Amino acid sequence: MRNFTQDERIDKNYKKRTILFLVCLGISFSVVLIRLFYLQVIQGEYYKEKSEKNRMRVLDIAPIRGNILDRNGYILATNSVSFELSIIPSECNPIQKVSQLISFSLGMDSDALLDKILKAKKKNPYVPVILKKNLNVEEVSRILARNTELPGILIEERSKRVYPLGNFLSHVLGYVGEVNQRELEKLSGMGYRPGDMIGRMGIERLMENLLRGRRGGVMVETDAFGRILDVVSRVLPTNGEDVYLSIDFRLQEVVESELEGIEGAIVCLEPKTGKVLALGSSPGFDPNIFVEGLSGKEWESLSKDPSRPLLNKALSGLYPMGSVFKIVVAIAALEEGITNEKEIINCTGSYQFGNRSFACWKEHGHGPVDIRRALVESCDSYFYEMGRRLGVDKIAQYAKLLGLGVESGSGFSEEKAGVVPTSDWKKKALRAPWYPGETISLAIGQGYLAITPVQVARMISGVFTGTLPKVSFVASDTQEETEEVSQLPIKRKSLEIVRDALWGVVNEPRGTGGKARVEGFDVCGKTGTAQTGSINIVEKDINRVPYHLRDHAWFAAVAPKYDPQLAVVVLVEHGGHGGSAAAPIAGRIFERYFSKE
Amino acid sequence: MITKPFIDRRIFSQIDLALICILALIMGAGLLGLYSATHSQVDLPYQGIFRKQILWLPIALCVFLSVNAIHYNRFSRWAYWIYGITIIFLIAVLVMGKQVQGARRWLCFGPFIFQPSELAKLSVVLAISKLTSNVETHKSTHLSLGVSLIGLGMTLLPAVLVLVQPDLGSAIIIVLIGISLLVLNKMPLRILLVGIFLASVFSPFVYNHLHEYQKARVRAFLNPGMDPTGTGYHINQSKIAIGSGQLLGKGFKQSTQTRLHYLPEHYTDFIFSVVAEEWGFLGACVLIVLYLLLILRSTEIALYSKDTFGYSLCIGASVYLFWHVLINLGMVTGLLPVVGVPLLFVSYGGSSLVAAIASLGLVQNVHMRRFLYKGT
Repeated sequence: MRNFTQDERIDKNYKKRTILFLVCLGISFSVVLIRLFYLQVIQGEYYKEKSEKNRMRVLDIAPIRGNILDRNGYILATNSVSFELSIIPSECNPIQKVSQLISFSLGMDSDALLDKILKAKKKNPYVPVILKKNLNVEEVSRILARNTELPGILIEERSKRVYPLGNFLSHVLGYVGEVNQRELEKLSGMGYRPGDMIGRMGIERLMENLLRGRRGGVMVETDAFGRILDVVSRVLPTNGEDVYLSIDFRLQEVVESELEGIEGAIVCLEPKTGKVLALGSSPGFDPNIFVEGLSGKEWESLSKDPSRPLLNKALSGLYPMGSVFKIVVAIAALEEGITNEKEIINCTGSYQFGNRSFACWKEHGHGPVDIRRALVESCDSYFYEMGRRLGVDKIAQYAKLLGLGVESGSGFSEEKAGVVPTSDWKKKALRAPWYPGETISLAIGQGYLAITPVQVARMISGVFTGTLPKVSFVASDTQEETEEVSQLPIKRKSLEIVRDALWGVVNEPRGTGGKARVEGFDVCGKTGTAQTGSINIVEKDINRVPYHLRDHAWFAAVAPKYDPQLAVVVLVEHGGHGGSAAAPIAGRIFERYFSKE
Repeated sequence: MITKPFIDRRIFSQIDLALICILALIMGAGLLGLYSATHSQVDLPYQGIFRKQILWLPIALCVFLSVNAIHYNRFSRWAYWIYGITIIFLIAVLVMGKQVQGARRWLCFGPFIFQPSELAKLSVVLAISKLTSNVETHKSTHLSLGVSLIGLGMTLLPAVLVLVQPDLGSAIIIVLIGISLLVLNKMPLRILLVGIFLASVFSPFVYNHLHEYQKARVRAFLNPGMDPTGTGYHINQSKIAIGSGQLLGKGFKQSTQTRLHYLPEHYTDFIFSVVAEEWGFLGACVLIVLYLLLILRSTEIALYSKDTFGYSLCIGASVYLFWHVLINLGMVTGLLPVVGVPLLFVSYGGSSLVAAIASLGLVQNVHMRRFLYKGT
């Protein structure tokens, strides 16, 4: 045992080192305190926000898309509720038994299911994994019956777009599909998110903003594993509004049945308002197939089908107009004063222009005809002469006035304006001068003329009402209807002459549209037979002409004459003569329409 | 010879209440923090933590009292033995230690598991104190080169054994404690400078031999924004926790960072973040000031101890506390890399608590026996 003495107390050499230590202590603790002050007081607000962001998540609640209904409230597009089964892996115990029970109840592969749950558990055991989509009510009830044996399962409702009538009115309704990357970029700021549905065609696209509604959300507190611990706030979604169409379900049924088996389009307008009562394009498609997404192969077979099922032929199909165009030429001729109702022109069956000869459809000619007879019997020679007198640009001016070659105002983005040629147009588009001979073809609705059936329906409505309202698919209240529809700047007398002639087309013995006659309802109309190629095939028996070279058959009509209730335009692609292929269809539509009223 | 009682009763009249009070306050704050960090009813794995830590308290008290009961001169005699046993433990842990997440750090004795690396910190203090406290050293102005080198060797041996476990944090702490204690025992500063020079030359070599996770932590420290969900995650979440506490804190049990598990290691190395989040800058300052007072008190006791061994034990306890607190706080506030150093008396863990308590027991021991009289 040692004895300690005073000597062993520490001396100043030790104390120097101790002071050094104290200095280090002071400096380093000051640094820590300054750092804490910086983090907590100076940067505190910033980190506070970060910690809030850390824990708050917003979960979306999707709005329900609005229904689309006809004018009487028939549902044309709606939503079905489907169920989705998912499971929270961490709560699913024992996994083997649960997955076996689920696979037994739903007839799924047990091993694959188990594998799926185990994989999800490895990834994040607290986030639900979807096991099966589109469960029906029966499957849901089978799962719920075993609820107590299936810990951790979740059944969620999903709303899915449904078109209960399939092909019915498909081109007008359009379809919805999952929003794609390009649309997300284009519509940034509109609130679209991946997985959202967006209207791609027709009313679904036109009325997208009304139909889609506004998304709601729940703000939840989550932990680092994504587990939801608490609901902080909730904003309910605003569901989409229902859209009522001007479409009349019963008339549409007639149109759909008339289109069965042929390719073409039918448009039924309310002449005074421009409201579409029925519109069909054949062949159609089933918009339901787009909801789940199409495979590349399915898309290809649809888009490459030569009968063009996805095309709304009434709005976007461009066709030469054939003799229906004579209405425009007749009005132009009367308005410009280059002829009058008394002038008579002799039709010999051919028309000499320069050194070319243009044939009338009637081989031996109509003999002497005035403007009325020329329309009733659709004499080509008469209109060749009128065309020569008017010139291309005057014809085009009146065509545009009557709504040809311009969009109808439907608002559908897929609508086409088409072409009513002018000399300027040809110079710009084809870099070639206009030849006078081309005016002769244009006078009977051939050549470069390319218009849509809806434009024809608008034109013929205009002739009988004296006004040219925009075409609309939507029942009045949703769209602003303040726009004044002005009178066409055409003399009443000219219109009367043409109206009377068109009455004759249907109701006189030699009229070309006799097959559209409906007793008691003065149907007035005009036939048209539009050549598809430049070759004029002289063949009486249509069945001997190859299908794709056959003429398009047109018929445009309004009834009754003095109080127009319905305008009907029928286009039968490659149907042959308007009088034989298109007029009877229009006749049946008028008959059904008026018999039901 | 009169049979003396095992403990001289007079000694306990000299007990240092200041030291005890500061320690009690720190441990109280620590338990509060630990309770808040682990109280959650949802998370089963944490529910036992607080209770287990409470169970360590009587053990810590026993250790404190028994260290006080024995005159510290006996520890002088036992110092090299304790050091030797520690080295054996450190080797044993490498051979038969309990492996957790790729590291062998724990030895199991029945229900008790303990970390020899914590004991090593204390043993290095004892051994270096023994080495430096003799008459020759006391008389000279500097520690001789030979003794300095032996002291450095005594520091590096356990440090290397700890490093290969691998436990970078404890290894660094051991080295820092050993070197600081030698400097405080008059080791020439030239040796320190040469050592720092050599260390900086060889540090790239050492970095290459670090484990991948350790390298990643160093990189994450150098650039925490680099990968916010990966290795920088610890630091970022810890900064968010501390910063969001602001001046006054979110309140007891209101730490969202902890409750929602954004902050990893929230009841061990990162517990200070929980305290700072819940009690704010003011609460954090109080805790830091308590540590500062504890270190100053133990330094003060060192200065009036009656011999150099006593001085060395107390100043050893000071640097022991100092480095732990500094590195832990530096780490959680993003000033230093994440190396895994607990916050003494606050972080969960029995070994570090017992070792630190024993160290403070020695300080109390020196304080009580600061007057000159003979006997054990």
